[in-house]
This record gives sequence, structure tokens and C-alpha cells, in this order.
Amino acid sequence: MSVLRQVSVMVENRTGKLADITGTVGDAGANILGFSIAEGENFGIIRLMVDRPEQAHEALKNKGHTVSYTEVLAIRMEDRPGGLHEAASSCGRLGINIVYAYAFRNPGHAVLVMKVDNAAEALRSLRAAGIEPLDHSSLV
Amino acid sequence: MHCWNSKIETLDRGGIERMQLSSLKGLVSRLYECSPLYHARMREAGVMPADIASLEDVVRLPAMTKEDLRDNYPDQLFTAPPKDILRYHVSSGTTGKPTVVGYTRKDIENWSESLARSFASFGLGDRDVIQVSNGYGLFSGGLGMHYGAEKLGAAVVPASTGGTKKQIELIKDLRVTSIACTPSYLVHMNETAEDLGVDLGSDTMLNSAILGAEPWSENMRRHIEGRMGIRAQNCYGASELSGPLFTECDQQDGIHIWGDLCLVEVVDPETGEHVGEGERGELVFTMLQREALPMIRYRIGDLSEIEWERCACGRTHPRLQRVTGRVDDMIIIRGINVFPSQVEHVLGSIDEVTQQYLITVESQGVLDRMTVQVELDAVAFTDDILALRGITAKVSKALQELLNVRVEVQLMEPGSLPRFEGKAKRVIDKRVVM
Repeated sequence: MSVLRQVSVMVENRTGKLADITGTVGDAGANILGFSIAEGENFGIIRLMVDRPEQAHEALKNKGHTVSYTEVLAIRMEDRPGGLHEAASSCGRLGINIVYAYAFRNPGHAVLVMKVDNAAEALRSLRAAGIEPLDHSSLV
Repeated sequence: MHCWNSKIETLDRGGIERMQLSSLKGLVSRLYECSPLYHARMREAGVMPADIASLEDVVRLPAMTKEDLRDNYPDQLFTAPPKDILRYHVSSGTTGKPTVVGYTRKDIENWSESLARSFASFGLGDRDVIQVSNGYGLFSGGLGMHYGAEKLGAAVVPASTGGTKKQIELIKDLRVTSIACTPSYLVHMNETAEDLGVDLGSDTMLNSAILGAEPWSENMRRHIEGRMGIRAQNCYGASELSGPLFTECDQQDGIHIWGDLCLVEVVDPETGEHVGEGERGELVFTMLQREALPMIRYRIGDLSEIEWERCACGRTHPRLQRVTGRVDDMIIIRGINVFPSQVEHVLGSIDEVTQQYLITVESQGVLDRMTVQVELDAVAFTDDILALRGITAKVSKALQELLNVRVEVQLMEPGSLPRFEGKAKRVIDKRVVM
């Protein structure tokens, strides 16, 4: 199973909210590997890829935040010019529709996190094409 | 002082109260005998017609509310035979069900008489040309003003609402001397006139306006009078009571409520008991002469006070001060009544949101803009922004369908809206009252 659990948090548009969230996640002992902020009309959604999603989720929930898990896929990219292009091209070729994505860089390689239309199907297509999506342990 | 009906308008308080008691007794006896519904309600309240021996005894009669009108939709409260009904007006209801008001010939006659007296009290007469820019149709405003103005013998320009440039032309060309409309529409009309290079004060014969159907302030009056060089007269009424009924006289010191037509009480909204004379409270109206739809102790929800002292104009009837609030927080958006309870009702039917909400009303130019902030139910939270937008759209559509007003909905993080311990403040009215 290489569908990853991303932690998504709804936050009202107010200064200091991001620090609230990151503080809680840090205190819970979860390391934020990558994240993005999506902007709604009058709220935002903070999307966190952490090494310990359950700890982060529970701590945020206990603090009264509105939080949910979202299933996402992550694939390895070459950390060189053209790396993202290759990953994106593979997805395009395999008919995987990306709803949103963000990336982060580890020593030696980069990671592309994607929310796709149909995670199970995307997983099969990627594997069939010889691309193994990352699990939590191989993210870092 | 010129009176339309000086004998009645200057009758002393004792005389007015004797007329009121006699009418009240007649009304109560008629209802007890002819209306099974009122009969049952009086029996339930343990009151017989013979118990009404003084005006104070009116408190023994069961009060009516808007609920009664809705529950008895369309005409179960009517006490006139169908052949005697000459007209219906219909107003939008609070839970989607409208209320219907019926009128006999005499009801329309009394309604017109009330307005004719009021118009004359600030100097209008048969030489005047009155443009009625209130809505004609199911709404009682337009036709009510129209009949009142005709009764007075004035010429009526039945302009109704909209077509502002045309309205300005008519004011000029037909030498209109007075206009009936909402204060916000008059301000809009004046702005449009200024854009067209027309000074409504000096380029036309306009010298007064009869303004009502929405709350407005003394500041707004000063703005209109100063800017336009006309007299801005406050008007009071409600569709349940007939429609627009009473205005201020030329003293602009309270609205004369004609005591022979209407008995007004002021009660504590919590206990329902009379407040002291001159004190503020909830207005309760009994229409003493209505035939088609009797209104007995109707709790209209407006908060104000009543002054019995003889007016400087010489008229003796009680005067209603400015309405300063509503018991139920009703707000008027673009001329449509909106109750916070309606919003609550809609939210209760949608699983993805909580019952926490905040209504904000702002001025957008001369129009009103209503925003409703609602909290997402935490369980319904999803990372999918399109799905969240879908929830917003669903709430917006449901509100619009019930309220008939365009509503902007903002979805909020659970727990982010203010909480209240006592009475919740659900409405923030930021409209600019000039």
C-alpha cells in the first residue's frame, strides 16, 4: 500500500494561524516534510506531508482544529533540470489527472506529492509502468 | 392649521378614548358572535364581551402575532363574507408561507381616510401632484398611497418602482409636489438626478417626500432635507394593519396614530404587560374598524414609544416616536423582510453546516448586500475545495429560494464565529445611514 496520508487543515484567514498549526505539529513530534497552502474564499487549507501523520492529526484535532486525512501519491523525481518534466510526462502518458501537487527536496532526490482523481487506479498504472510510489518510510 | 377632519383630529383625549371603547366593545361582540375562531380564542382566554368595561380591559383579550396569520393562510381569519371582499394584498412570509390581507369597501375607505388626514397634516391638498413610487401590486404600499392621495383630491402619478430617469422626468414635467417612496430610493433618485444635471430641489416643484417601508434615522432626514431642500415626512404602517397608514404632521414630532381607527398599546416584550405612559416597549395594535381581517392586539414587533400630549399642530391623537428596533431582529433587505430565524431554519436543513451563523448587511451603492457566514460542520471537512464550494453554493441556493434575496454565503472554519451567552447577535448592519 503506497497511498499516503496527508494531513489537511482548514484555517480561517487570520494572521498567526499557520504558526498555530506548525507549532502543534512540531510539539507532537511530527516532522513536516513538505506542505502547501490552498486559498479558499475566506479560509485556507493547509496540506501537510509529515513523517508521523497520526500524531499530527491527533494533536491538531485535540487543539480544536478542523482536520482530515487526504489520500495522496508521492513519486520520486530526479533532482536535476527536467526532473519534474519527466514525472509530469509519465502521469500524462498514463492518463493520471492531477488535482493538485506540491514538491519537496530530499538529499539526493526530489519528491512530487500528488492528489489525483482516482488514487487506486493511478497506483496501478504507475506500478505497471515501473514507477513505484513512495511510502512513508521511503519519503525521507 | 388645516385639518382633513378637524372634528375628529382635535377631539380631546377623553373623547378619543370613549370612541375607542365603544368601537372595541362593538368589535369584540361581533367577533365573539360571528367568528368561531375568535370565539374559541376568547373562551380559551376566559374573557367574554361583557368583560370589556374599560380600555384597560383590552389586555384581557388574547394577542395576535404574525404566526396567526400564517397558520390561518389564506383567509381563515377573515370575518367578512367573500362577496364583500374588494381586494387582497399579499406579503412574503418568514418561512416561505405568505400572509394575505383582505379589504372590504369600508376597510379601503378607512385606510384612505387615515392617509388623507395624514397627508393634509403636513400641508398636502387637492392642488398637489403626488408621485407614488412605492411598489404597486401585491405589496400594499403603492395602492395604499394611491388611494390615500386620491381621497385627498390630489393628482396621482402612479410611477411605482424602477425606471429612475423616467421618474425624474415625470417629477419635472407633471410638476410633482410630493413623492412617496422608500428613503433609500429617494437618495438613489437624487443621485441619479444630480448625474443628469437636475436639481430636484430647485429645478422641480417637489417640496415633500413621504418616506417609509424601511427603517431610517433622523440623520437620514437631515441629509435628505439639506441636500434636496424638501421636507421628508416619516410614514408608518404594516401590511397586516392595511398598509401605510400614518405620517408625521408639519411639526415632524411623532407620527399621529388616528385613535378612532386604531388602538395602540405599548408592552414589555418579555412580560407582555403595559409599560408606563411614554415609556419604550413593543407596539401592539388593535384595528378598531377593520371588517375583512380584524386585528386584535396585534404584536407587530416594532419597538417605540407613544406620546399623548397635544401636538404643537393642535392635533390630539397619540404620537408614535421613531421605531428604534425590532423585537425579532427582522431586517429589511432591498425592501424584503428577512428574519434571522429563516436563516436558521435553512441551515438546520443542511447537514454540512452548523447552526452558527452571522448575517452582515452592507450598502453597495444604494442597494443592500447581504452576506451570511456559516460554519462548516467539522465532519464534512474535506481537502477538496470544489466540494467545499459546492456546500457554499448549496447553502446560498437554499437561502435565496426561501428569502427571495440574493445572498452571498461564506463558509467558515468550525468554531470561528462568535458565540453568545445571552441573546445572540446574529446580524451586523453596516448600512450607511446618511
